[in-house]
Amino acid sequence: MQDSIRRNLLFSVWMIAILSLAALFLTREIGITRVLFTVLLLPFVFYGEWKNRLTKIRWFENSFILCLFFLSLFRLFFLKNSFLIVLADFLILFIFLKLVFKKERKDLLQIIALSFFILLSASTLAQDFTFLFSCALYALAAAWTLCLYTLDEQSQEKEEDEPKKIFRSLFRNCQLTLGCSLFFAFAIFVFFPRLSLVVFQGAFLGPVHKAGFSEKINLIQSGKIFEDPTVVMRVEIDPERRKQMRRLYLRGETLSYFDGTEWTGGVKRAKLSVKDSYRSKILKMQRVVKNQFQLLDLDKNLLRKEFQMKADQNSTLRQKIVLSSLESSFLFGAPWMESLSAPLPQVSIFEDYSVARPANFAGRIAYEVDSLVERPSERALLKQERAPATPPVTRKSKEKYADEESRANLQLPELDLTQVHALVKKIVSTRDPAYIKAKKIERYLRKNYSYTLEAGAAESPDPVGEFLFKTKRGHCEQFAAAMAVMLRIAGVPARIATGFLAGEWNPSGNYFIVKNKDAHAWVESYLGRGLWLDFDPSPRNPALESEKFALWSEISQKIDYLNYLWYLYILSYDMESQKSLAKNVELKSSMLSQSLDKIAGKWKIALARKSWIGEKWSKIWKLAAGRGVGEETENKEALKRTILNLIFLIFLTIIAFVTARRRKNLINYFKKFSGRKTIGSGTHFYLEMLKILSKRGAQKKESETPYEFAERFCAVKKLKDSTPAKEIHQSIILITNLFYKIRFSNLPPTNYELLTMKQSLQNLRNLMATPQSLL
Amino acid sequence: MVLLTLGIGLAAMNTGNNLVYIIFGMMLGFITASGVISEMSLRGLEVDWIFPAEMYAGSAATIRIILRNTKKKLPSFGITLTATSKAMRPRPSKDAQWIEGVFTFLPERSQRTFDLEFTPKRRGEFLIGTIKIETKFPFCFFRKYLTRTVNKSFIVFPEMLPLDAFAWNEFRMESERSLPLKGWGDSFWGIRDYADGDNPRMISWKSSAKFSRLMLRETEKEMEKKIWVSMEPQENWGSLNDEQIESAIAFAASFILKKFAEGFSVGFIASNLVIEPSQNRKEILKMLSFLALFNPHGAGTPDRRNREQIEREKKSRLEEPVDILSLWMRKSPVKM
Repeated sequence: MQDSIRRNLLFSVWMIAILSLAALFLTREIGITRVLFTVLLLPFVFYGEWKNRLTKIRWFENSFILCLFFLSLFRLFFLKNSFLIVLADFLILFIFLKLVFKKERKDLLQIIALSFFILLSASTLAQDFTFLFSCALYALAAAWTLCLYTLDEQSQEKEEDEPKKIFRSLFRNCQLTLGCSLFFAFAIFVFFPRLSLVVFQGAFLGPVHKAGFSEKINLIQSGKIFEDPTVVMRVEIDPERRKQMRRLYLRGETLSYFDGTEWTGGVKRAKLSVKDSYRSKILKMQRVVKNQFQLLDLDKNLLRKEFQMKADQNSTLRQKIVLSSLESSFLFGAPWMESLSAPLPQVSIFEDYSVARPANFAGRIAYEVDSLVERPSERALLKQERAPATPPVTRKSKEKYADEESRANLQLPELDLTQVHALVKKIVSTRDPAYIKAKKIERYLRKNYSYTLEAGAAESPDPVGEFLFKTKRGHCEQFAAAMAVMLRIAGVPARIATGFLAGEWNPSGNYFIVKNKDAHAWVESYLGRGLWLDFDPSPRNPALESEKFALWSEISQKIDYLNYLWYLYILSYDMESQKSLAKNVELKSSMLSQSLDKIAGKWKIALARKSWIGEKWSKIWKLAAGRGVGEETENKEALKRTILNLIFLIFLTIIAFVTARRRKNLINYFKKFSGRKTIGSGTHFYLEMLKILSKRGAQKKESETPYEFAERFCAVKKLKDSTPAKEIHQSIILITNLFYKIRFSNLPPTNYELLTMKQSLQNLRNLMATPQSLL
Repeated sequence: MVLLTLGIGLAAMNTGNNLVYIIFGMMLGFITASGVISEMSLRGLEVDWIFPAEMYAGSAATIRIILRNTKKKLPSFGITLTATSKAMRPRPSKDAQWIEGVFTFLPERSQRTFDLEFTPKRRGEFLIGTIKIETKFPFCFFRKYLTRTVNKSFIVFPEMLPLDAFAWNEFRMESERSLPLKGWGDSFWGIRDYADGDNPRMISWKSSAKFSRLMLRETEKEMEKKIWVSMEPQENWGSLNDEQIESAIAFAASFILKKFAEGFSVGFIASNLVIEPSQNRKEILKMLSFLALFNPHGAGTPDRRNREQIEREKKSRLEEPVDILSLWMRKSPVKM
């Protein structure tokens, strides 16, 4: 048996290691090289284990682990890799090393411990619902492995128990453990107060590199990002509003400074909006509450009056955004973000109204943004441009500030732009208003240039010129850059807005799935009076459009919806959720109690009426006979209710009947668990006999064996001589013999024995009740 | 395990990561399941002991431990039984000897036995006061146990010494010689005709063939081999130190057993105990028990009969007893 347990333990350890690695790989945060390395090599190692060909080289193992440790430190402190990724890599290699060599008992324990830490590491990286399955499977496997590990310590070679029987019992224990684990996991998850101490949050447990959103655009190196299918965010909006919208732009930041090859944000002024977010300044215990931040403060009256905009509720779009971990600290939303509601203590609002969160809150986040999506009509814009200078539409901005901003967005790179100047002159007239200039350039680019992701890296020092006059093919960044430069040449302040273009709509959850490949760049052009309007010169990508109808897309949408729910209800569950859950429970319970009171009241009233059942029955009879057809639907409802009540009553009766039949078994079951019968199972009849005898003064001494007691009892003279005494004697001997058999032989009593035992007990009861048989 | 769980709980609070909370909850679930399963394993267990009839100091003996699972549906796993045996008589000792039995699996409504090699270090009466039934099952996280009072005592006889090298001829008894009479024995007496009622096993087939009729072989009667071992006077024993006493008692016990093995009827005389010479092993065990508990310095020896009866029995014996103390001194001279 020892061999069997040891072999099973070995393979269980393998199983637990593989499960933990699978949980980690399913997070999709571990590089493909490590996954391939593990997946390709582990089968060979397992084969070696199977054939018992692994060896132990302890010095090599130890030195390798030491090297691994220092390498991880180097990566962490010098290469500045993410702590969580470095840790995960270290654990993967560590466990791999442990699996490669021959395992002693302590090695097995180390592998179990390592697998647990790998699972823990996966929990910090996981973002989708697969983690729950990994976790549950791991719990089952861990329970199994630890049970075997414990038994392996104690098992002996000579034991002859059937391993199958042991494993069956062990599996029952594992099921119990899994049940306990899931119950506690649920209870802790729901009820444990979320206190978020946030001690090492920023330093070590910051976000792992996720989405490739870049805060600058390099026209020479760009291109790769557009093929990455990683989900960056999910944007939930009202499905009715979605139908009215052609495209949803999610603006992150703007880039104003262009050096010829690279667009950067330059130096921007930011206003810090701080909310009271800490309960205690000393302990820094975060109050995980949503704060409301005011962003773009538009003068809506002015917009209505001078730009003929409605600026009402329908003009505003509420977006519920679930943003994954990003390298960037910017928050995204449809342009003209008016307000933001996010669980953040503070945000930085820049002069271009892009919003950034604090550095230590760069992980996953769910927030809500209200954006004004209505835009002034072309006619109103043209009219306003011809009008004399009037106050800006934004309340808090000053003219000087707006002027500075517009001047900064007229900057041009120190390159020879003669060709571009000529092109601009060809497209627009100097007398055209800014809006018309922007529209003309946008239309020109859309019409004469084609969209491609395979433009390749431009090697020219003037990528804009190369795009406009040589390749004439490119992606959004090249289009946006070209348009911005052309607008600036035409004297219109322009900047590049970067963010995402929400394309894939998930009807299961009514939200947009925004992926890395949806990253987009477009142009914002200043039209005066604080108004920055969006222009998108990029033609649509036909490849992206056709993908919508693929079958796989539908399946992936369903999976994505599960992940979305996982994020909303599991990953984002916080103290606010706990409070609202408690309130909901309170509300629901009070409603339930009220409705129960109502039902009870109705029943009471109905029962008070003597002829209630007769009435109901006659109604049913009438309806069944078709006589109530002419009566209105009220009767039908009454019939439905009555039938339901009857079904419920029948159900209750069946339950009561079954319970009554099982009552005896249940009592025995509870007795067994309460541990009252520790002397032996199935020997209660002997206790019954002792009880009968003790009532007549014959107490069994503790030191006596049952046979000794029977002998002592029957040795009494009075008992020896009388006829009933002989019967008592026989009964006692019979019961004692049966007690010995059940108690010590492990043989179940036969039906005949049970019958005679019952008869003997009854006999004893009757005989002991008569005064002649008294001792 | 508890520390690790607390650590994970703190990590969950620090990071606010809900998945770490889930792992924290699962660990608590594991701890709870561990408690429940180990409790289920320990419940409904009964222990019995079977000690060997004869246990000698310094010699390994097998103690059989029987563990019974009286639960109807639940098996028990990884049970370890631990007990300590303490010397009670002749001299109580605080030093305890550990007895441990391990049971990997005990199915429901069944029993398992475990044979334990136990080597008592000294003679005397030992007591097992309590036993500890413990388990580390299921996860090796905790060691859970319950204790039961058993108060089981057993006697360890004195150590057996090798006496083969000793010169025994001088102690050959007069009574061991053959008598010139027919009877049971090994020496040849004569041949006669077989008669009805004679033992057919004694037929001499060689002679029967020679005389063409059944002939019977008769043997010379041998007198019963009988020896008395004396522990008297007890005062002489009192002058020995503990080590010498132990050595002398071990010698006495070995001598008695050796004589018994040679076919002698061994009798025993002590200040308060007389046992008639007998070939019954039970009587020998009585002598060994007496020696196991013998303490010349204290009143620990059993007073089985009244003194008058003892004196009467002493006078009624015919042979001179072997003074075991003198014999031991001759074998290993000591300064008195």
